[in-house]
Amino acid sequence: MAKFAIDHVSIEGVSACVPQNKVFNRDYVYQSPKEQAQFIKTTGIEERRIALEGTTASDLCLAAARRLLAQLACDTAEINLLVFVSQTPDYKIPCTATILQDKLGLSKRCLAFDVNLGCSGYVYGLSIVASLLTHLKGKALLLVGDVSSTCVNPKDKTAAPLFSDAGSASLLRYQKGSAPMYFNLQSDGAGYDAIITPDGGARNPINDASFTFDVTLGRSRADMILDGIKVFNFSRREVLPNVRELLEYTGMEIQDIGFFVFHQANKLMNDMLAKKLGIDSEQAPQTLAKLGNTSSASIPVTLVQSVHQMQLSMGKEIVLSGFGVGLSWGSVQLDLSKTNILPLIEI
Amino acid sequence: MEMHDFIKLFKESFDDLQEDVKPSTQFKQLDQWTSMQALLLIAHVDDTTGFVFSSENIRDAVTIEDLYQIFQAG
Repeated sequence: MAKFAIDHVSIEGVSACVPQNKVFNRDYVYQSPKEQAQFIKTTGIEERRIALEGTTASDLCLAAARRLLAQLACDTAEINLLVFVSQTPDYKIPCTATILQDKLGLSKRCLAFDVNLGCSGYVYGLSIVASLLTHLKGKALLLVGDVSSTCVNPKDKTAAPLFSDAGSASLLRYQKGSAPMYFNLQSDGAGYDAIITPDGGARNPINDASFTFDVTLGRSRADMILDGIKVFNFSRREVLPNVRELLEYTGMEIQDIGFFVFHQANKLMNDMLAKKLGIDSEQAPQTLAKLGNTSSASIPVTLVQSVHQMQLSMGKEIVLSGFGVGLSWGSVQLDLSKTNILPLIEI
Repeated sequence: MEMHDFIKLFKESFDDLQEDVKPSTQFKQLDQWTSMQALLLIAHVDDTTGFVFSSENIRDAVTIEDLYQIFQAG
């Protein structure tokens, strides 16, 4: 199991951005009124933010990054690394991170690359950026976001009403004496098909059959398929042991942690995680009702919406935990008491 | 677990199931059965008994009897 600590790196600030465009699950026409009611009750998702055509995950991250750099008065010459975590890049080739490096006016000495991860992506991204910063020094941008609405068929009534779009930016800094970040990262490729877009990659290139629409399932092989039961069972089985092992590693108890930010999967799942940890809802904030499941961005989106909880945590460390597509999951325990958390922005 | 206890467990996973449930009931034809109800059933059976229905179990089962046989074999 990959448990490790990274010293001397702090998170200076976090910002997140969602599209202005709202859609309401009560208006979702491919479910009956009964299905709508049960879907909203079980997932907790009433509204979602959907990017208009032409707006990508990188656009949402770019807006978040520009706001963050301006707010923190960051000199872009100090940024030595940019990592873009997403499953909805601008192009198949090239990577999106280099495009963002140019748009943000970062130096050509800056490393920039993409990481293909979804719901675990923010935690993994922090581990990658913090690790590299211990060598590179200076500052780094972690940009994490997805426009998952573009991956699912709008007629797929089990997946389409779950997903929402968002981007985020986190500025990390090498700083001697910063509190360590503690990670516990895991993967299980045996479940690779729990969330998958079967056609369109090198394994199954797009062909005439890719767009054959399955009326029963509401999707084709070019759309993302979500096996809700597989993902649900995986999350119930793996997330809490991962968090508990992390706390064992750091020598902390549940009550020592200010609050927990879980990937926003669905209300049923997130309520269960809080209940089994023995914490109340204030300590495990949810943003599902108004912002849906924003995939890789759900942890930073929930962080920026949880400033109140952060103040209540009175300087205690917090735990972030992401889980999903891959299958991939991981948790980090860290100190955000000196981090600038900016309000959610819309474009 | 006897069949009648299993049916009770099945019914408890619903908010307010009005329909009659028998071993021969084709549960996916129930008015209140949805993909979300499948998750509620799995969570309830797991919390109560520790048994976890897989995606394939739910996909392949047609009747309550099918579900019960999978549960008993587990």
